[in-house]
Amino acid sequence: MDRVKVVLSTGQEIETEKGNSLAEVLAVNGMKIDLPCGGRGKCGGCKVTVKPLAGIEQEQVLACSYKVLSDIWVDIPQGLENPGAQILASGNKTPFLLNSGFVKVYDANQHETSVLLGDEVIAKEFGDTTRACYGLAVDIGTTTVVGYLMDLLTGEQLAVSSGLNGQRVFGADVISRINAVYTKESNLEQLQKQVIETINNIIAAVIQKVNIATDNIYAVTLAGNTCMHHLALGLNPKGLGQAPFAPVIQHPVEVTADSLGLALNPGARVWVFPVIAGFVGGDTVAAILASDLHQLEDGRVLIDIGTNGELVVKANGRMMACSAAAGPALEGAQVTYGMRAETGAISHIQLMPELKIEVIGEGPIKGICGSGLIDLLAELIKAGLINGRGKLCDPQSCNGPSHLKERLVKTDKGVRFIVQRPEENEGSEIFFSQADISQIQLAKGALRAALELLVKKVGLNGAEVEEVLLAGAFGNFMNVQQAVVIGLLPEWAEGKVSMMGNGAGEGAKMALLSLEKRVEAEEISQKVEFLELAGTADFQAAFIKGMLFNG
Amino acid sequence: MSEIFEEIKEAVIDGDEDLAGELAQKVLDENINPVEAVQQGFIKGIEEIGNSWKAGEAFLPDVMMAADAMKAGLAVLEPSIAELGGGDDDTGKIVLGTVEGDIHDIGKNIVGALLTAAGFKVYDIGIDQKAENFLAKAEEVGAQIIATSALLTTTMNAQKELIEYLEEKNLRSKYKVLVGGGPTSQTWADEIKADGWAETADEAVELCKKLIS
Repeated sequence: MDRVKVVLSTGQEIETEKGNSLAEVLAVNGMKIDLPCGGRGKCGGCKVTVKPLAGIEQEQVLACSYKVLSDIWVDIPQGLENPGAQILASGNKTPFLLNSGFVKVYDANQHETSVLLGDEVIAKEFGDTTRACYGLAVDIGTTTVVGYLMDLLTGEQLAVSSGLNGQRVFGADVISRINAVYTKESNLEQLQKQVIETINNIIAAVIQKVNIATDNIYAVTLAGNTCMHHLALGLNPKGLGQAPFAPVIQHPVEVTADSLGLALNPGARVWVFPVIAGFVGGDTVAAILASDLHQLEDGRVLIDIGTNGELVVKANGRMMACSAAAGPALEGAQVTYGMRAETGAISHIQLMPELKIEVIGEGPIKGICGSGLIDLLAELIKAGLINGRGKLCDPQSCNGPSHLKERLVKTDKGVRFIVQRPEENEGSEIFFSQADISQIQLAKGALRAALELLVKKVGLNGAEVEEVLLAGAFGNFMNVQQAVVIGLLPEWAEGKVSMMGNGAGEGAKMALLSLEKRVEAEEISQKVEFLELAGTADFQAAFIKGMLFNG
Repeated sequence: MSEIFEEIKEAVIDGDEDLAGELAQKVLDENINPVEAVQQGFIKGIEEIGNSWKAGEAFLPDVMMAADAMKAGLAVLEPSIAELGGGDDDTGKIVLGTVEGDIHDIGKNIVGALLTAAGFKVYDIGIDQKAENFLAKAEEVGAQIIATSALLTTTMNAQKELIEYLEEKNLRSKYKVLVGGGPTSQTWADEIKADGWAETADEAVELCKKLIS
């Protein structure tokens, strides 16, 4: 049975059987695909853009009649995607023994099925339900929460759903959530309710997709950053708001679903990932677990790029982690024409020998997503339009090639590079400003500084690094060579980078399916040393250096 | 002599920490007046960077590197300036630090560099500092201004606590208290009855000049 890969513009990666219809693949994976003509290839309502994963030739096809015969990339138009588009639904898998701890035994005399966790009977069900044994792995992000419904008997992923974290009403970042509790203690209860409600909505969505009963979900694993961990458990996060940023508890916690208010079998067990430090949480533990970093040979680095970047290095028998406040610029925020990797985003760009742009989907260009921003910056450096400190050259004194020089415009807010003139893009101008460059410099400076200091701290020489594991939705689209040109990654990383998808989600799935993996996760949380970077002289020096371009 | 001042100025503008230190040593070796070296070399350099920053021509790394270069030079010269009985203290003394519970200091360091460039004597007490440490330093050096930085909404309350602490000690009127940092605002300064707030480092310099004159 041949398997092929379908990568969506939303970041989701799906493996499917060769020859399946694209519409079916999309529907099974939660896309709201509309087939007005019933999938007979008549109405064109399911038109999508596809291209070979390894090529650039795009074509428009009807999802209902298109058979997936090779690895492809599909642009998912807005409205079709499931919410929380950028989270990857799958990543690297390491083989491990399926052992969720749950056993179902059918007693024909009583005509009832017992659900056993070890020796303990956690539920009795009428009839033979031995085939229905499910669990939910949850990645609680500050912005997006993703739930994976898993079959505990086969280890198979049955459905994925995601939703925006209900706590957003208190602010976008963790500090604003913590501050809500500083402002009013009773907000803690509110914050807990909001995230539980978000998870309950996800539960409702996944069970609807595969038509199972919530009562047949017996296990849940939760992986989140330390703040999300505290808020989900109703622990006071105030300590995380001030130095030394100490968590209330670090070890893994197991509670019943009803004690948290989860709409599942009341006896279902919720296992919450342990955390490492105030800003290196259970999501990082889960990513380490999924990457196998703890079992791999020394000389490896794991980088999880999100709004907050977390880095872990393994060397000399030690694992050490730190967090880097990179900010959301690499996700397209705080950049004038920055955007997520959605329809209308420039995903790749080339300036030499001529301007060449790759856009996600059809229609006018709306902005530039993270991978496009990295490309653009790298290309400007290579063309000599940006100096080592990040300054765009003055249109008058610029020595750059003329087709690029004529795109430089001086305004009262500094120089801009015009990526698309209005006449080239249905009337809308797209530019990249000096201030935009500074935003990316700050983000990459923080990440690079963290990487350099961490590697140095464990006594590892960059050249000795064997592998750089990149987790997070953003990494999958990034051109590693361009990331090296802008200095986001050091030169020694070239040729060593492997993408691993949503590390936190993958780790949460593993802990759901394997009690042994939970033990490993706990060991990881105890073994990983934490390195605080903020406020050290070393950090400031490395941060400045990290902001520069060596081009 | 003006040649070496020019070289110092350029070293600061280029953010060349090593060269700035070497030139400062040369000032000492050749018996050049260190106070003049500071005023006509180091401060001129950081001033120029500060101005190009204001004009949008220099960027964060430029300013930070220049500040580090200046710091390196001043560290070499300070002992002999102290021996000479100090520079002119007329512009004012400022105690600067990041409040208790907060360990972020890059913004604070830039403010410190630009205040130094403007001729203030800046006593930077570092990060995660209790209210009593701000006061103790201010009393010790006879400062007029206490400037506090907070980078997190969860730590800015310590700025309020500092003001309350001064009130408790009946020393509130003795000092001008300034607040700054990402989450702070003029509204916040008004609310906690601080004497001033500035959004950017160069505005902080203007504010200090206004408060002391």
